[in-house]
Amino acid sequence: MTDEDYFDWTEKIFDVDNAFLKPEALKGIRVIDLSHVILGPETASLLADFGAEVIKIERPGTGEFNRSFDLWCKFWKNNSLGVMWIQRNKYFLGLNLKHPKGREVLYELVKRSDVVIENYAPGVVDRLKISYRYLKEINPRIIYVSLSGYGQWGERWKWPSWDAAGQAASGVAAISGYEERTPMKLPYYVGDSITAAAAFMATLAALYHREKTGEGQYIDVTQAETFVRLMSHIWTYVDLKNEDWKRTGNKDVSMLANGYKALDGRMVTITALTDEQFSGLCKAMGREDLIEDERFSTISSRLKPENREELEKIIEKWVSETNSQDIIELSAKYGFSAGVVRDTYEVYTDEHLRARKTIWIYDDPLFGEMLGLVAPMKLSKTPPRIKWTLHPVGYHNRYILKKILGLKDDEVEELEKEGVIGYWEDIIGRTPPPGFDPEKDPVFRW
Amino acid sequence: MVMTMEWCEIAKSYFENEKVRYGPGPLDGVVVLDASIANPAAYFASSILAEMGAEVIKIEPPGGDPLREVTPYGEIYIAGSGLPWVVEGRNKEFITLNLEKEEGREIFRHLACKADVVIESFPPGESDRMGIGYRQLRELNPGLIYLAFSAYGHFGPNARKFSKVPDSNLLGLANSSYMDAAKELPEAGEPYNQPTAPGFWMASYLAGLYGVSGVLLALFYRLKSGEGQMIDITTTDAMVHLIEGLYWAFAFKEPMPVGILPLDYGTSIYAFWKAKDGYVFAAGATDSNFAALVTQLGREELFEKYPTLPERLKLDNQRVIYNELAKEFRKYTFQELVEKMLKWREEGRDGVAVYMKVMTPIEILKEKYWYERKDFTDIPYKGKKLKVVNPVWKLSSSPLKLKWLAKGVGEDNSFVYKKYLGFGRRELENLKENGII
Repeated sequence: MTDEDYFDWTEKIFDVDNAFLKPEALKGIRVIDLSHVILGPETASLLADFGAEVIKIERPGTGEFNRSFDLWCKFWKNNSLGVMWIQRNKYFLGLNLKHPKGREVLYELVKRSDVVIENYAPGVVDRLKISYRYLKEINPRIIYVSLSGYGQWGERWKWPSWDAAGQAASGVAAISGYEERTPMKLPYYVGDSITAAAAFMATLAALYHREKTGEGQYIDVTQAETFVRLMSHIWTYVDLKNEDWKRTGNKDVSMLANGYKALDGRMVTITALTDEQFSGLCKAMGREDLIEDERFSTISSRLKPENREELEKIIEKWVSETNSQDIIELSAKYGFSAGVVRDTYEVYTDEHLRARKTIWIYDDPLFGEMLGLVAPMKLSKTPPRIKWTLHPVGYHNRYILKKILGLKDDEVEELEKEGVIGYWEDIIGRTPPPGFDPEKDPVFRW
Repeated sequence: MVMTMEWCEIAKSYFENEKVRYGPGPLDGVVVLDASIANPAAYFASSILAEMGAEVIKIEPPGGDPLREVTPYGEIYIAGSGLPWVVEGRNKEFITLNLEKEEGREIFRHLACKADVVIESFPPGESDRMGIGYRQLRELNPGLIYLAFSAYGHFGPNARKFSKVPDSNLLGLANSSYMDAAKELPEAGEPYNQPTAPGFWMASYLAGLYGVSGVLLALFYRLKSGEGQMIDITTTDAMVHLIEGLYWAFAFKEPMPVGILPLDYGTSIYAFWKAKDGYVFAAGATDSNFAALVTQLGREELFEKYPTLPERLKLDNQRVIYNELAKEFRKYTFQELVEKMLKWREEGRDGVAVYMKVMTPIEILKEKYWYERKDFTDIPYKGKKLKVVNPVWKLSSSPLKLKWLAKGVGEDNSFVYKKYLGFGRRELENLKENGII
């Protein structure tokens, strides 16, 4: 037992400022990333955040589909911020998979790799002869991750999908928003990014299994099913009741939790799950009389619609007469859960999140000062880290082909002449940022 | 390999053999103590670990975890437990232990010596003060992996000040700015143009998923190093990771213009509409796909008017396109829209319009697709038959499984305390009398 203050001690063991001095959990794991748009790229980026060597393979010229899209079509420094978000720490290989020699290069890389990730429409990689059935012959230990809207098999295997199609198919849209309005499309493409969190998790489980047994495997993760899993008890409830789930706005019908407008006009969320948290909220509101009120004295009594309605009125009135920041201060003092709905700039400038490296500002080799949103869990011994983000199509061709496959300059040039490998086109979303001179870049020229 | 087999049949064959039915879970042999209290994120994380085959021992205070009382509208309880508890109690063992008392803490330390993973959701600093935090347990079990859920985290300038704040789904959605984007255009009026949370526990369960990944990474690292570590996760951190708009805030030093539902900031057009028989999703993101969509709806002039994505994405233009198409969608059922697309494809025309019906939970439970994929199961539970979501992520060699649902408070006390600490009936009775279990 030591007398050192707990929070001084945690600062020391997490020490995120020195993340680069610590080991990487996935060091030595090589990933072939054949994916595009958000779902696959984000899955691979999460692996790269923890030290996996991720080789992102793009079609020469235009590369990744999503390079054509950006937040409000802005294209900061000629490139897509939306792509920078989810192409962290990767090596960029411009490889033509439709060319027989391109496929040969891929097979050689797969022999030396641990994981393959793809999210083409189901069936596409099989036609290209790079599906699991081909690659497991080349490398039986391979972990092959296929991502899609509805799966590689089953009656919907040919259905096209986007994040919001997954939202629609799974039921998350139908239960979000207000009953009298069109269901809410959950913003920020969570049908992709949340499915990526699940796919990353499944990949790690397979890596752990392989480390112990030597066995590789095939993984089939979908957007629609991931949301279905996260809806959890909602299925059991609607089945028992045989009636549909209502859209109730911010009101959580399973615990005392809702959003309210504060005196300063800002939306505040308040959650009081336990009796203890509820009593903290009552003290903050100066309504200690409510703690003993039998209509509100247990979790289940507070959830009963008629009691809940009474309580909602009381909380709503109190919040409307209190400034949002005062409510946050009271939550810290009395131990209930309150948050102000912030905008992106407030989050971006949040000192606490910066100190935790949740918001990580770093020096990018191509883009200069840059933001990196790495994997959000803080591991004390093997933390995630940001090294770089997006690079032009084919930027690491020479590095990868020489270092991993042992090719020499003339062999690389030959592949280039034959159209097997290639580089970026000078169009928006592909052009390197201003100031980048390929002829003077030692990594590009490797 | 039979060359006439379609890809879907080949793919299905990887998941249909005996190996998958009786295959080992990826985490068979891993022991997890879940000492979290009233925390859906942590309870969900240990649920996924249990699906992966870990032996998850859920530790509750002798009176039970308050999360047992959480249930929609305070309505359905089965043998005293609400539906979230029942459904996510899958594959776990349920014991009680009073951590308020030193004797209980001592037993916890003994259990932690036998465990690979401890999960907790105490206010940061609290378990340390109780002598059962990572700082103490790692001395007893250096390989231990310690996963802590909290609202503001265990380090950082605000960690101490906000340590008493319990984490919650809405806190993560608000604090991360997610809800700032989840609101309709101003003209929708209140409350629709105000921040709105999704209708399920998105932030909590996402934090749970990332927490599980943290444990898997730590287990993987431990195989090589023998060392354990601590993992710190919050719903705010989990949600912030998804906020693409933060890159806008970074690049332009201003808040990202969001909160424009049903429209989109990244592509146009990509939205839900009201159709003749419910709501539909439709998308035409690229030029050719947009042309396909508006032409199928008889509004090809919209493509002529807005031929490029930057033009279509502009808020005012996008609003016009959305409203014009809204008039068309009302005329058709979902099936009629799908038929338009099928005909389009038959005619060999360029571009793809993607349509999907916005399905409600009850409708979904009637669809064949999910049962072929084994995503739902009917399971007998305390005299009822419950419809329960199965593990959904398909792994061909080390499958996730659903084995049983939650048990009663302390139902596995005698088994677990016997197995790990050798306690017999008399010892358990003493502990019970002293209010320890």
